[in-house]
Amino acid sequence: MRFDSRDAELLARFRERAEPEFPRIALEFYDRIREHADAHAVFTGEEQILRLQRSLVAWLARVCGGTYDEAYHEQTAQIGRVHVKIGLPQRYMLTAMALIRVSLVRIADRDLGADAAPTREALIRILDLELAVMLETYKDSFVERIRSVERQERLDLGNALERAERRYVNAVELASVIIIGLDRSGAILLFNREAERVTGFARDEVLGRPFLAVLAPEDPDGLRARRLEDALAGRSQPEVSEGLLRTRAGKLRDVLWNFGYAGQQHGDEIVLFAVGRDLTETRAMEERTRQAEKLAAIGTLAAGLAHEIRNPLNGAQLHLSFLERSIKKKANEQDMLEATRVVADEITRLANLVTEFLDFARPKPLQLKPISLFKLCDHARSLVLSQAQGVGVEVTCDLPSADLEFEVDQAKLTQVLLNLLQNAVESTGSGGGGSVVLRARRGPRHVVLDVEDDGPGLSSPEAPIFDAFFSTKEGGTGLGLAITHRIVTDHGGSIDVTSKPSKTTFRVILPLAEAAEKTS
Amino acid sequence: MFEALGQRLHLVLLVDDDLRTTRRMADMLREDGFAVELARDGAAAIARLSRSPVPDALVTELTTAHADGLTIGRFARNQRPGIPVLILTGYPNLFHPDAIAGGPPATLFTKPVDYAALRSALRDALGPPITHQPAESPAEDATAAPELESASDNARRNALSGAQAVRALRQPGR
Repeated sequence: MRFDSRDAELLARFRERAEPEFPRIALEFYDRIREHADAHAVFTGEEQILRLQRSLVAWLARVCGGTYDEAYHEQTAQIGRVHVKIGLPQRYMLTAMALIRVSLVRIADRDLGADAAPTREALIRILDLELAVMLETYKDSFVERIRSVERQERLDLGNALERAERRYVNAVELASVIIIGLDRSGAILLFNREAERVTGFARDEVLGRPFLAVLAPEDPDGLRARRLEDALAGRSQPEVSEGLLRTRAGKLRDVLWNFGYAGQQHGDEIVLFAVGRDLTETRAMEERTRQAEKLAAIGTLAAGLAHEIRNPLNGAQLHLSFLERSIKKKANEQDMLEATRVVADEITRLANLVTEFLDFARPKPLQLKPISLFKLCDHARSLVLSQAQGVGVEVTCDLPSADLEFEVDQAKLTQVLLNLLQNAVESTGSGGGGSVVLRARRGPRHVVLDVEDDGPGLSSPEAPIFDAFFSTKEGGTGLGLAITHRIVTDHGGSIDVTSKPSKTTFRVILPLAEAAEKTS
Repeated sequence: MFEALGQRLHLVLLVDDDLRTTRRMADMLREDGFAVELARDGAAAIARLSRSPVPDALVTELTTAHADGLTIGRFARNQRPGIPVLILTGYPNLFHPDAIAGGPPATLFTKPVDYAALRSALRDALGPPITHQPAESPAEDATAAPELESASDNARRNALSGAQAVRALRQPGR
């Protein structure tokens, strides 16, 4: 640019004239900048602006200082770096420099007479040089800054990816829904924690194995296979459907399924997400609520009915007693006496039905008292012993090594065990004898009582045997197991049955009350 | 026939609205050595209990008209402390034997009642027949008393006991 020593002299002279006006230039400069919204946003307060004005004055003095050495160059470069640091765009630097140039050239034109033209040229040259140095450092610094930003962004991206992945893993793992991912062949690739909990399978037991073979119930007509194939091919509509899931133990759970077809995108091998909610507990609870409502209604009915039935029965029985007495007194005919006994038996049977129906439908409140498990079992066994011996059935107790006391209604629980034992004895006895075992086991929070027999088994294990008036027994009221069921559920327990020829097990599970349990 | 042995029979008051059956029961109890009177509802029973001789035992249905078995039982205990009370009912869940104070717990019989069991309970509670008291007039002999079938029958017989009956009905006993 041919900035030479003459330029330097001219500028030094110019400084003598212009220096008193530098503060005014600085003031006007920052006033102009402050009119600009984006620039204004950078300022933090009046103090900062005063400081900036002072630096501008110093810079003006330096630019017109007449000394342009290495230190001068370094200071200029520093200004560039500062502007990069505060993130000032280059266009502001160019326009700012234009503003300064106009102010200085005006002073030169006004005051320097013949020197005005060469001084103006010198000013233009020095200011352009200034700008060139500033922009050069600005560029270097800017590139460095961009690199650092890129490095940071890459780092952030890596963290974000990791975070996102962790987030999705958690979402899948902690969700209280079953999530199973299948590849195109129907093999399991994803198996979340809830799926493990519901099915009882550990992840590594099922990963890679076909969904149908591991988790689906029997599929004799191939219907499930066809439906799954449709879903895997993305042919089925996204819809909610109820289905069954086979657990590790072979039990079936009710599951509400929602299939999400992902397709083969991004090389991910999972094409189908099966999202399911285990409805088994909900269903069971709904069933219990329905049962309780039904029982309450029946209970009210039963109380009224009991009264209405027992009164006529009372009349019948009393007159029958009278009849029997009269026959004995006068004729003493055996046929007639036999007839009265039959009527008496029928009355007793009806009366028992009413009693059992009331026990079932409107039981007396439980009277909970601590009782020894051993005593309870031995007592129940003793009650059924003579009946068992009569039909050639052996009844044994299989008890845990240590006794325990737990809070139950003794009379009612004895009735439960007696009902189950009698049923087992009758069933086994009808098959020509056998054995019945009353087994008691203690769990961490419950007591398990099994009544197991090696009789012929239930004729239809799926039949609603715990329902009232469901009886396959000759002369049964159809209420025995219903009452048993009621007593067990009133204790907060559950009763279940598994049956096959030569092994039928009724399992009663009773919770141990936390305060009451104690091992002895 | 027992009077001939020089004994006064125990007097049992039977309360039930099923008169056909109650009469038959009374017949049988008389045959078995008790004196028996009948009342068909709570009001008649309380009226009878207000009159002398006060019965030795009360056998009552739990749900009787005008006053229930519980009220009758309490009134009976008031008239004769410790009187054995036997309650007959088709729905025993509503009743607790200790609900009638002032003597041994009431005995509860669920219908249909076994006659032999009822008779045994009465015999156990009353013991052997009491030795006959010659001072008693024949009119007061329980076996001769007619069945009391309603409050009005009794009111005709004895105005005072009718008033007592009304008072008894107003007793807040339950």
